[in-house]
Amino acid sequence: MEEVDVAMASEPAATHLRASAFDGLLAYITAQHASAATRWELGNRLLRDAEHDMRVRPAFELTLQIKEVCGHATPQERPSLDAIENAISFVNACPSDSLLIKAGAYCSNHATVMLKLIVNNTVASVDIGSDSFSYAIVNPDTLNTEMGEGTMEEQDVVRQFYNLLNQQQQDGQ
Amino acid sequence: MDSRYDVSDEEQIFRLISSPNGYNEVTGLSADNFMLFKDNESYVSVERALFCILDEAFVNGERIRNWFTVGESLWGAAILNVGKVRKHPSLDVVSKYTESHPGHAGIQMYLNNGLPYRFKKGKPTPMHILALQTYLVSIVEQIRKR
Repeated sequence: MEEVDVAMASEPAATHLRASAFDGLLAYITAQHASAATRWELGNRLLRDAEHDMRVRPAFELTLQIKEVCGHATPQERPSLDAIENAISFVNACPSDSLLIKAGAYCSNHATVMLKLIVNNTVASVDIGSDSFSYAIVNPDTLNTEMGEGTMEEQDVVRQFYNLLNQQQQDGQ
Repeated sequence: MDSRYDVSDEEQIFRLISSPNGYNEVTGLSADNFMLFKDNESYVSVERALFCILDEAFVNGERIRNWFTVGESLWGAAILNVGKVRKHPSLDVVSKYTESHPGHAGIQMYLNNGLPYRFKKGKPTPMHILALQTYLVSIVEQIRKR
């Protein structure tokens, strides 16, 4: 089998690996023709890529869940496309995936998308409509409650929500 | 104290849950289960365990079809303790006793401005109401599938 220089082989492969885990897998299979050292290097990169994939998974799964619950809703209760897009944007604005580990999406009876996030003992609900949203973060033990309302253009309100939730997470550690 | 009209802190109450919108396997109940969604509605209907076993509550839930919005069906029930509901200063549980429906009670939500909330399709729940609903889902003691 032809030996391939590690440095030369890994760089083009790394470009692929950065793209997605799938591309990474493809690159790894291709690298079976490369040397053991090259495969070891690519394996490490693949591992890092898989870790990256795990990191983005909660947001990805929540996005899928939003689409799924809205798809199952009856026409009377189904949120508008704007509301669904707003909900996905809200999830994508999350700065830390650790906040989304215990998160769920619901289609509300009044045609909005409702998200529920649980961080430590704190429960957060976000109700998202076609042009605005509201949120409440409640600690049932202390009754400490944070609330907010805004439009999707008001990104500072979205950031504030995640900052408050992040604070709850840090307080609980 | 007349237990027909006074609900004690020790009592348990059932809130019927509809599906598919009300429940998620990872995060449990949606705050939407404690939504006021009828015009002029001022409380969330519940059943008192003192007067009604859970199976009867399910039968009542099936009978009262207008409990659920279009496409929803009865899924199960959330069980709450009255004292825990009342721990929140903006919530109370009051009896809605009648001869024909003795176990009927309501969770009342009090807003800062004292005005009743009226839902509007496509609009998010006002944050004060959402906070009360979120508190309620967080203190559910048990969820029972029908």
